[in-house]
Amino acid sequence: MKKNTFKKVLIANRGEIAQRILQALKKSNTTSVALFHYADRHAPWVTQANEAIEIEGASPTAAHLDINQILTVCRNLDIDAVHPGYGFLSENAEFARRLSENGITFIGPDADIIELMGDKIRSREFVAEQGYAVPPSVTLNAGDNDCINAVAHMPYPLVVKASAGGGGKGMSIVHSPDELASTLRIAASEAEKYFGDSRIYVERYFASARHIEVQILGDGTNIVHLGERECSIQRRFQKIIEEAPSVAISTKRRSEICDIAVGIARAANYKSAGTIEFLYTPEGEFFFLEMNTRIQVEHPVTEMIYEFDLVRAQIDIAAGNALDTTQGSLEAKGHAIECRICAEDAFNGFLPETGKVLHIKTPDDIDLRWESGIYPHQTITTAFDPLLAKLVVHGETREQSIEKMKAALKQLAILGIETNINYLIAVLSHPDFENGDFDTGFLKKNADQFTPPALSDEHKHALVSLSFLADQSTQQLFEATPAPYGEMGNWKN
Amino acid sequence: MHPEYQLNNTDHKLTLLRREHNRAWLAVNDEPIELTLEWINKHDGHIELQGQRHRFSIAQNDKQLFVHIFGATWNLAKRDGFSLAEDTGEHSGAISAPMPGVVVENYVTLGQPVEKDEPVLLIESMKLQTELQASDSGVISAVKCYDGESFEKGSILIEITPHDTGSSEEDQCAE
Repeated sequence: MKKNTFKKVLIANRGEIAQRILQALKKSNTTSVALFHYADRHAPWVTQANEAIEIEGASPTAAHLDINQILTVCRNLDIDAVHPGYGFLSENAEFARRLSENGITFIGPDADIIELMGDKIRSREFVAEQGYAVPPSVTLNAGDNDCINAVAHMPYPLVVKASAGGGGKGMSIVHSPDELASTLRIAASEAEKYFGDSRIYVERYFASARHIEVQILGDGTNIVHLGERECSIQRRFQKIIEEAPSVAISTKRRSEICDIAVGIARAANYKSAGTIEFLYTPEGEFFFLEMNTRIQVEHPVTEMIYEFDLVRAQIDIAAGNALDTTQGSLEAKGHAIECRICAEDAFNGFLPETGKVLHIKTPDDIDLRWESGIYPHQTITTAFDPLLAKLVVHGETREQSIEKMKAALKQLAILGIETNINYLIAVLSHPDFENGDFDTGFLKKNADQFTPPALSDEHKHALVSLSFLADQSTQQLFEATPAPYGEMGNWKN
Repeated sequence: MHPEYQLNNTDHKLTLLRREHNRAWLAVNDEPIELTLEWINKHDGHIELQGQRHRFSIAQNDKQLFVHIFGATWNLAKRDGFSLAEDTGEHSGAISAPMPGVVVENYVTLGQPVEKDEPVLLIESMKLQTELQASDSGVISAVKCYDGESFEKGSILIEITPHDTGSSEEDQCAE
């Protein structure tokens, strides 16, 4: 049977995920169109796309959220389909609906499914109706005066979340009643500002649970899972190290959690790639957290162990092809880890860093996936998330992939801006991480044990000497200095 | 010539003793060191130290040097006469930006009395909102930012004239 394909696909995103989508389009010889804000005009995903079109906005974020402008681009350029990536409009039902009204395919689930599963409050109600466990919670409107009373019966700690939130945004933990008022105030402001929806919910916070999620793929009728990902290594609710499979669950528990995920997706007649996130408590319970109706940042770890192209599958399903994979044909091999390389001062409260990327050197003798949208001379500002790139490795065993990742991080150089590379090495080297003994509180609990690398005196002196010798002002001085220094010749070739 | 480079808040004094082709003899903090430098391109190369080769990458932005070697990236700053006398220290009542970001909402106005730890400003950085709190009890003596304004790390956003616990009490008594 001939496969349905798209002729021209718009990439409605930026950074590493835009690069990832571009790669999938190139592989299938589909014409790619990049959508970019002026600030991104030199980015590789702009210059390497078949076509690129500039969109305007006060900031790149504003431009990428401007549905009307993007629709105009689609009509003018005769776009068949739009891949939204993650973030921005990827879980925006209105965007999906308006594209479809204009005869353009949204590469993702239908608007109705996004509305059902993308809304944190509706989706948990839906999941509870199907008979699956959700954490105890109270839904409220942050502006309400009695919202403090509404949660008075709940035991602390609590977590406050924006209904429309996700990816760690619009979330905060409350340890005691006196923090509640200020947290609700911020939550209301964030929820309204980022999501245009001030509904929030307060749920019991499980301080020592793990975050385990299941990758789902469906065509509306058939649903398969591609195993779980362990994403418990988080700072400020944002994942920084993800791995597959999880070291925490047995084969039996794995098939249980994957069955629950498939059951939820089937109940929703899910179409496209999606992720169902769970809390796994020390008591061994799985609670449904939320469903992400889009490709996830950490999808490569699943792709590596299953040797499966999820972005390609999303595009094929959206083009109207039935899922050509059966559960029985999917087999995981080995272990994969992803590290998120972020522009931040990780040893100092993860404060975001800004600066200019001067030079990038990726490891050249290690087999890995380097997923990046950054490029030399790029200015990193606070206008976006601090995620610069992702490093993903695969090994036969977990020990092997940890070792491979550490070696790769040690060779990776992103010069000109402070990154969390050394911090990631410190986390991967912690004995509890190596033993798989951790939960979502791991980074906070062990914060004082993660320290920057140290240098011997000899190496310190070599480093300072090298800096001096390579310093441009030294080089100029050498060039201008006559013999005896002149005999040194050219330092740089 | 004794240039100084700062690494992890420590200054290191350098003396170039001799150089010959791509080999150099130096003293760092009066300790002698010998090393050979080979470039692959303008950013990457190898050094040879005590018979061992080490890969490096380097980039420079004015007086800042970013060097990747020995499994990590190191930031060094070239020191000169001026920068040594730079730190004046901020005064106690100033609220400075802990990170670059944007002002979401200013809770206070000029002349308003505030208590220590009272939230005075809501800022946002990398899509995360944070409340900044008054560093002292006192009166708002300057508001140096407006809603929606972006700022760099370390910018003074609000100044507070603290209630002077010692002498001001005496002043009040005198009145």
